[in-house]
Amino acid sequence: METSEDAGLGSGRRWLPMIRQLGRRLLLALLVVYGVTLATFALARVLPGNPAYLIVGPNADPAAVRAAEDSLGLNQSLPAQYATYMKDLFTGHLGVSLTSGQPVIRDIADRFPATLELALLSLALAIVMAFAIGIPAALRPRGMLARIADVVSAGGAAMPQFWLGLVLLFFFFYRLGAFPGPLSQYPGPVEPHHITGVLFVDTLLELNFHAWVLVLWGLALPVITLAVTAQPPLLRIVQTQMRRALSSDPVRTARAIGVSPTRVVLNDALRLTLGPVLNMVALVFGALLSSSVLVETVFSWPGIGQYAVQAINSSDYAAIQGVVLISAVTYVVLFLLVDLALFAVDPRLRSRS
Amino acid sequence: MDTLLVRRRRSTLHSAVRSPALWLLGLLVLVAILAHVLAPFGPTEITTGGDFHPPSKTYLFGTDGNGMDVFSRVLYGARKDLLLSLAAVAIAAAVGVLLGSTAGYIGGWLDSLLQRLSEIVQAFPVVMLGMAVLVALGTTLLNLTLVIALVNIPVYFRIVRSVVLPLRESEFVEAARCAGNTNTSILVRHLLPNVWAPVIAQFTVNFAWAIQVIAGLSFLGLGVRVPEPEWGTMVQQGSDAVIRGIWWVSFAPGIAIFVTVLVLNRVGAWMERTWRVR
Repeated sequence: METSEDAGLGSGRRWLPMIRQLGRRLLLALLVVYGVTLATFALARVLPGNPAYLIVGPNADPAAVRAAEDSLGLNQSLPAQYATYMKDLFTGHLGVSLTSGQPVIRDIADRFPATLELALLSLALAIVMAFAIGIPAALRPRGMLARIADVVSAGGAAMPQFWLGLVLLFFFFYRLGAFPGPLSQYPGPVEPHHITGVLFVDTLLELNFHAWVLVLWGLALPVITLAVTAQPPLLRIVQTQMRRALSSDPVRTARAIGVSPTRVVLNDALRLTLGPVLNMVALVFGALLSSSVLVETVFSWPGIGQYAVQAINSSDYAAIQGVVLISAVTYVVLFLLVDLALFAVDPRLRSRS
Repeated sequence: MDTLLVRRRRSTLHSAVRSPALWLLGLLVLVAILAHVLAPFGPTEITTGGDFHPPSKTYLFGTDGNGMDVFSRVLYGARKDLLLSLAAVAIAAAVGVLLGSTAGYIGGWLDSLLQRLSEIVQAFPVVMLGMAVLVALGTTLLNLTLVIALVNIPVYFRIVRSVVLPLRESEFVEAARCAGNTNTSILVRHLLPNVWAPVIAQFTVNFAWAIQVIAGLSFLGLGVRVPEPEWGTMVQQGSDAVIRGIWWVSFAPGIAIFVTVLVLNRVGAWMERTWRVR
């Protein structure tokens, strides 16, 4: 499949397969998004109960119910209803949440930064763990660190997230009192100003370092929980790719011509691992975004996941639909971006037919 | 004289006996089967120990907020978690093998259609999809099992398809076709035997994953309901008490999930090693 030999084609012909590949990916992403909208539309249709009753109340007379059905377009044919649904989607209407009384899109926009903050910091910590343990483990495959790496990745993969969160809370909040409990996102007395919504960025932008430290303190336990359970695939891929890179021709050549060992590892070998690692980073990020539901529940973190759980508990269907749609679309866009990044990083992919 | 196949089977057996993960898995299954013999109390029996009794000789892992014995419930939980996950993954594997082999062997528009469908299913974040479907169809055990099965079908579909597709044009299939075999018999007798090793290895890993997802959804209140003994539900039951220092209600069921998933993953890794899949 991977033909690096024909990379020396004429410059015009070299770009053609790449453009075709990208076009294919884009088309596929659009198709998937279309499928997702069909699914969320279907979801709303199979929900138990008549949504008209949610508007007029359970004891309304039949005329009022029919009027509500008309206003919701429930008497139209399914394709017509779907068309209305799509039109609403394109204009950014995801319906109104029953619990908050706000448009669902507003609710999601309010809560997305909290989830993003959690996911990004956890991803960063997971990446650091993966490289810090993975590279030394790859350098000495039979050494102590390689064994530790095995334990860390096997243990992290088997660890139930919600349980790890509780264990950390028990030790660091209840026993030691060193970290804030599952009370709110911001443990300080005064909330920082809303700039991006991502608190640890906002406090930095305000140069409010005291608040920044507090925010990080509050983030510590949920971030550790997520990072520990999300790192195994990253650690494993860094380890295997690094080991492969170290025995590859370019690295052996660099060694042979006398490049210093540190430079060989950190420059030549590391570059060879980047493509596959980047791909895995995206997969892990996607998993983090979706599995943060559990950690958000444990730590009462006001993100999308907690919103979804609350929506479910109060049968807030528009909110549920909105969350599912938004997270699926985020997923698709994320993987499309990764494909693009991979094309930029790995020249071998460009000439693949 | 031993044939190569017999020798290979024997070496698999030898390595199996020496694998601690397999022994532990056997032990776990035994615990699940014998839960009613091993457990000192019934799974939903309200003991005389009262609520939140700390671990003691009578109540090994203490009692929960309803005065039920945590140790007994963890043992019965093994039954519930293993059975539910097994059912879900078995359905996924059966459907996935069927669709994957058909798509890989026949190809054409059916193959493209199934590929796109599996990509759409995989485009959904699993926990979110599970939540949505359970809310829509009701949080019953059957729906829980079916959701887990649904999200796993693409995994088997892809594996089986990728094994069958290159073999479709191979000489032994050509020969079988020339000898007058029907498509069905070629698929079942000549192509599917190549599929079992990767499918079973994947099955084990998926099994572990399903336990985690079932426990996670139950933790969110979307799976197995209180007072049914299920590990995720049990962790949730104790979660409010943990920050008041009552650790034992959530502790043991969490460990149970951890150990079971760890053992299953190790068994999966052992299978991949011995059968040289991937």
